[in-house]
Amino acid sequence: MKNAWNYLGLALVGYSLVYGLISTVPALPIVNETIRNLYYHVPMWFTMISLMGASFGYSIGALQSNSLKKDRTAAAFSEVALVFAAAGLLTGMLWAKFTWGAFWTPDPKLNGTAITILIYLAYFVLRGSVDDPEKRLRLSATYNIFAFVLMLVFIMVLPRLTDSLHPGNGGNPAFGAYDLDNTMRLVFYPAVVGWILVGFWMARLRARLENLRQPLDLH
Amino acid sequence: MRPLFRALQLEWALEFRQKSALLAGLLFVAGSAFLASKTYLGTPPSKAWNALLWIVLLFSALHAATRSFAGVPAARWWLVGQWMTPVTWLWAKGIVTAFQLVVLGVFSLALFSFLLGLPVGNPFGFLLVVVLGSAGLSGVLTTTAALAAQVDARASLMAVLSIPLLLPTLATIQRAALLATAGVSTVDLLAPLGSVALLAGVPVVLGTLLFPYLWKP
Repeated sequence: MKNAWNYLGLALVGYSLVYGLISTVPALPIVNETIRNLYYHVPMWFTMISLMGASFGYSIGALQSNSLKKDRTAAAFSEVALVFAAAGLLTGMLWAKFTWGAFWTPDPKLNGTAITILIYLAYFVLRGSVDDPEKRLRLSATYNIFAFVLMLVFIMVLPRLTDSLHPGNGGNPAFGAYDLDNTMRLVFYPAVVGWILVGFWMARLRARLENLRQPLDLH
Repeated sequence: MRPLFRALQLEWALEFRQKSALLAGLLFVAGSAFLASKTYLGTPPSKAWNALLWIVLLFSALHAATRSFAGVPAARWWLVGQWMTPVTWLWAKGIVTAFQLVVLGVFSLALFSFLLGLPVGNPFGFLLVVVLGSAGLSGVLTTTAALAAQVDARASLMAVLSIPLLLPTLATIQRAALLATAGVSTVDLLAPLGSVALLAGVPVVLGTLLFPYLWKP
């Protein structure tokens, strides 16, 4: 079965979508039923970071082997990562509205997300402004590696500078400390694994499409 | 060390040959500081003063750093390649850029205190933040300048590529700056200054690793 991992991902996502809505959750003040958003919001970020990590890996490979195919694959993974960033942002904004009272707060994690999205948009602007494929490979792969490592350092440093409303930061206990009970784990972990598998599938499809398109572009 | 020293001498000489470019940088700061003083009228509250100062500094730093690789003619890439390793050249460029940024930073601080007042509790500590902070912008800016120099639309690209990467460094600088503004003693500023130095060091290491790949063949 060539697509076993992909179908497993789909099944896990389907399971978490349904069970996320019908399973029992702890009754907590303020978050109430919105705690179910944990199954949809948090996996987006795990998936985004995994895809960006894969894109980083392909960029290193592209620089070492001068392979245009790897460069296009790196770009495809970044594109899909941005889709997940948008999804994470939207689900997070909804959650913030119902628990913190506003769609957007000056929270360090939100700033980190904004910076991440800006960095990856800049990566695509850079790719778009270079016509020569070899040069595009060199410049965009370098920027991808440079930006990914800096971004990792920053999203680890920034939340420690100021207080955060997010669980696990700025004196707030992490989710696991008080409310991630075993029923929730049974939905949350499959959701994370499922979304990561589906994200990789999407990115690989996107990369295949881009790579297939190439010969047609040669005039 | 010796090749780096020679590379520095070369960059230094080349930099000072273009006096008009250096003056343009200072004039950029002067114009912006004057504009800030004319639009604000009087001394702004310390937070607004800080925001104005760092925005002016960021854009003049961007302007100055873009030049570091942009003006280099193709022939010099070849010539420099005969004389030194790519990394030596990057370091020489980075150190010269850092020096320029410090000059710009101290100049803007002086102009701001002259035109807009100095609502700062610990002026010496603040000077330290400005010196370290503006030098710390050099790591990201020099590497992105080397990248952007190889693209045609480099001026706009430079801002797009480097501003998101600079935001976190600027956030740590801003934290140290606000502490100095509030009058925290210089000894207590050492920890936030340390985190500025650490954040500024990461791009230097990365740039050193990656620059050989950016080297124009």
